[in-house]
Amino acid sequence: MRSFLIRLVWRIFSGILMVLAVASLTFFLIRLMPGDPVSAQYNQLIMQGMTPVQAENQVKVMYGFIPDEPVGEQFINYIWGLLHFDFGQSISYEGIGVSHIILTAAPWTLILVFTGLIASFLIGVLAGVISAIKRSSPSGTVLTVSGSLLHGVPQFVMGLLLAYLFTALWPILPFGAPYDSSIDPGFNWPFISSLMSHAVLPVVTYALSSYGGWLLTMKSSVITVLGDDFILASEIRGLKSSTIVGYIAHNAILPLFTLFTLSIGFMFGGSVFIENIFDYPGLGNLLLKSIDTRDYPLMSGAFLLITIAVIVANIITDFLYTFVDPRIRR
Amino acid sequence: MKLFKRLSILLLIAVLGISLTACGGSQSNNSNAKFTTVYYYHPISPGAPKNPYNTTGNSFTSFDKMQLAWSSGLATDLNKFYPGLAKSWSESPDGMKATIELQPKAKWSNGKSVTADDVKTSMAIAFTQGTAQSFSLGSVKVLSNKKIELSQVSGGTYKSFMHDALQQTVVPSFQYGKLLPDDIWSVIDQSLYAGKDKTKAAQAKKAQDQLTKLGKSITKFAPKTDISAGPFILKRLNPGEAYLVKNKYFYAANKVKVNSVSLRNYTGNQQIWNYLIAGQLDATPFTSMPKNILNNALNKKTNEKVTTPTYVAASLAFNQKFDPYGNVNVRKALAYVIDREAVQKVAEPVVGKPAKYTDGITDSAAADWIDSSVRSKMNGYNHDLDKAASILEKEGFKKKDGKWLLPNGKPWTMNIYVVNGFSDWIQGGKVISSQLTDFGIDAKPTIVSSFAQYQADMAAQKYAVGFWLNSLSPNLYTAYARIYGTPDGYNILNGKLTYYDQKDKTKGNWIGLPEKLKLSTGETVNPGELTFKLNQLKPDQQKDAVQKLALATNEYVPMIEIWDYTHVQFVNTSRFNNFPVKDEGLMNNMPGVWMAMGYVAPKASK
Repeated sequence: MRSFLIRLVWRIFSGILMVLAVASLTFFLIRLMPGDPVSAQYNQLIMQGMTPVQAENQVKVMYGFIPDEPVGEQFINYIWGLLHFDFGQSISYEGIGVSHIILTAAPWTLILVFTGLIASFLIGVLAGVISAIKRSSPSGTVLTVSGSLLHGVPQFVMGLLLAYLFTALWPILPFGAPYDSSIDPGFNWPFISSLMSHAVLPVVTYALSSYGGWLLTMKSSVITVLGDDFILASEIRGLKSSTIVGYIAHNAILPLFTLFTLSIGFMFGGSVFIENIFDYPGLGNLLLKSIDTRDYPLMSGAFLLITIAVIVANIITDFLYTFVDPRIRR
Repeated sequence: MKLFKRLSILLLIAVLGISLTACGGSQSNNSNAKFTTVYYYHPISPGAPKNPYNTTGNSFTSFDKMQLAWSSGLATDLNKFYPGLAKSWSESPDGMKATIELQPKAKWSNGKSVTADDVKTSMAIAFTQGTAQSFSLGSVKVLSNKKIELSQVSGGTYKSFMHDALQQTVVPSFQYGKLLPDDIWSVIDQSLYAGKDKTKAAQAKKAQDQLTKLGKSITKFAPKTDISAGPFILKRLNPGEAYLVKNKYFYAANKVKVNSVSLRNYTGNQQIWNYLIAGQLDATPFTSMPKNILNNALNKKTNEKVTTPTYVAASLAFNQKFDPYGNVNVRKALAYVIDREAVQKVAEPVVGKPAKYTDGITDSAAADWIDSSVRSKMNGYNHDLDKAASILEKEGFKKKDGKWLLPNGKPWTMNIYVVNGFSDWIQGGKVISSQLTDFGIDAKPTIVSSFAQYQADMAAQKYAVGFWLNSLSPNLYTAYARIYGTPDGYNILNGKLTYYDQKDKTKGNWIGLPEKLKLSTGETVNPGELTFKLNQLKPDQQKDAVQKLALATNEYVPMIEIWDYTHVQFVNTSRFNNFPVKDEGLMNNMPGVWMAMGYVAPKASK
């Protein structure tokens, strides 16, 4: 137990160091990008029909949200702010805290990616087991081909295809908002059905794009386990086939477990293409917009959230794995 | 497997059920249908304040964010306005004063009357935002509860004073007045001092800093409720759309036939195309689109295309420090090589038409500004490869093995810079490259990753040839400042024109025309000064300067105008009718203005 605690503390400590290192690196990297928020905003105002003088005056007022001290000082203030959980203020969302903007976008990404991830994982794993066990039958072949095909289709192609089919050709599914804003949010059927119907396309796109990967990995893992001696021993002893399938699944799922928990970490990166195609208001869309407007604090905040999520997921995976696979504890 | 099948069937039923529920809500066709459009000024973001001074605030122009009046946006009649909170307005003969009478029935959505004090407070706030200074506002005098007089700053020469004043946002004094100090007008007066007295100048600087500080706090202000004097009031929003309902206190509420409005957020043209093709938008603002999208949109029978002129053109611009583009005859030769019609057909087939002249403004604007006598002096640079070849030969260029060589004997190559995501520029760059290559100049388009980088590199003089949006506005000053403003080294500093030579690479002069240009009429002009002058002339006095600038642009070809954009919008007549499709000025405004003027009515239930 003591060694477990020491390992836990050490991993958390090294995780914090890693977060700070990545935050420092991204702080400088994003400032190396060409363009700056002032000229991006100035040009946007000109495009909106302001005269150059009006746009310049407006930008001067907005400039208050943009730090103008030397980069070194900005960096120290940034790290100091981070240590106090202060992510600063957005530039493009004038005067609004970065943490507020990120926390507003995060739930939509979680709904999209988490639901898509769980759906694709469950269906993919189930289909992977079936396709491995019935690999010589037509149903196994069909499942494997479906996995290979869907695995080969990039997310944005799948998104565009579904968007075309269900929003243009047969416009039966809504998109472009997380729910119908004319409905009162709450625990009522109109709201819940609106929420679900708006999430169908992005979630299905995500699930279909990920399903093939889970299926193929699970199939390969199951086939490897099928060749193990303990399966042969179980068959010789006359165990029920459902029991044997249980053994197979338990052993074959270990590599997928790691992938799954890491995917949960990467989930916070959103699904940029899907959110963009369906204009779903999650973190991926937010990240794109912040890059477009050179909103340094918002970019830093979004990158930081992804970094923290991945590092935390890594740590959790490490520890959970020792419980799932007792061999690791030795 | 049975369980798997059952689960699949249940899932399918659930999806269909949800879909049908969703369709039932969005496709209803009755008097309660909500009017759906796209809000293109800023993203819709929960958490942003309901504050019109915040650039991303949840306050929506023409719906719950009101101005004194709405500009028609017509280049030839800039002073044509539609009434907003102002019922009538007049200007003193010298243009120094504007008297505005408010709508007698104008009320805020809490039932309180809109008064001259509200306008005065709004004008004070305009000083903190830097907008009042841009139209030389000096003082505000309340004449009565519903009448107000605005005056230019002493010695002001700004000729669009009333034009800009009418477009100011008006907010309630009872909500925003508390953000201003009691002595705000003394601070404003101090800030406007422009003399040489050092003490007063120091006070002015202090006052200006105080105004800027106030401006920042005002943009952050987050009112608890949306108080609107417009036709609608914000009810709720999510990150994808804002939902507004009719404001019963609106002064012309009886004219507004629409009960609720949904304003969709969007992140790019793709989303607007999807909404449009799906028939979800009752009004679709201008968006660039390829031909197949247009066809798909028009496949929806109730989508109706409305085309009006715009004042935006796409050009191929040159940095004259790069050889051989500093030679005006080379630029002219290139203008003859490019077949603009062929370029436009591929690059901007739907919302563009080939530019007839290179003169700095679109052909539709030029038709009203440029007399036939001046037009006759202009060169159309119609596609003529022989003429191009003859000009180049005269300038010492030689053609060898089908390829043009520069006068120094080196091969002539050209990179045409365009921006990633700007599909029309990319296609245009490809077609022009192909035309130039066929002519004997090795040209290729080079795509820059983002518009921000493009602008930074352009200003830093990194590109010899690249695309540029010119004209941009019916305001002729803004239009010509796209060429003879910062891009050609002319900047306005503290109200005075300052010129930076191209040798100073930090000041954004990437065109590099000489300061003095001799025209074919024998007159020598300074295009930067002429453009600056436009800012101080009334529209009816601008014609002479505009014609000189147009002629200078045509003769010195700082950029070749390739196509003019056309303002293509769509209205959908499945749920609403009576759109103001025949009123160009009204179509230039947001649908909230249409509704306030009595347009747009729900179709009867089927």
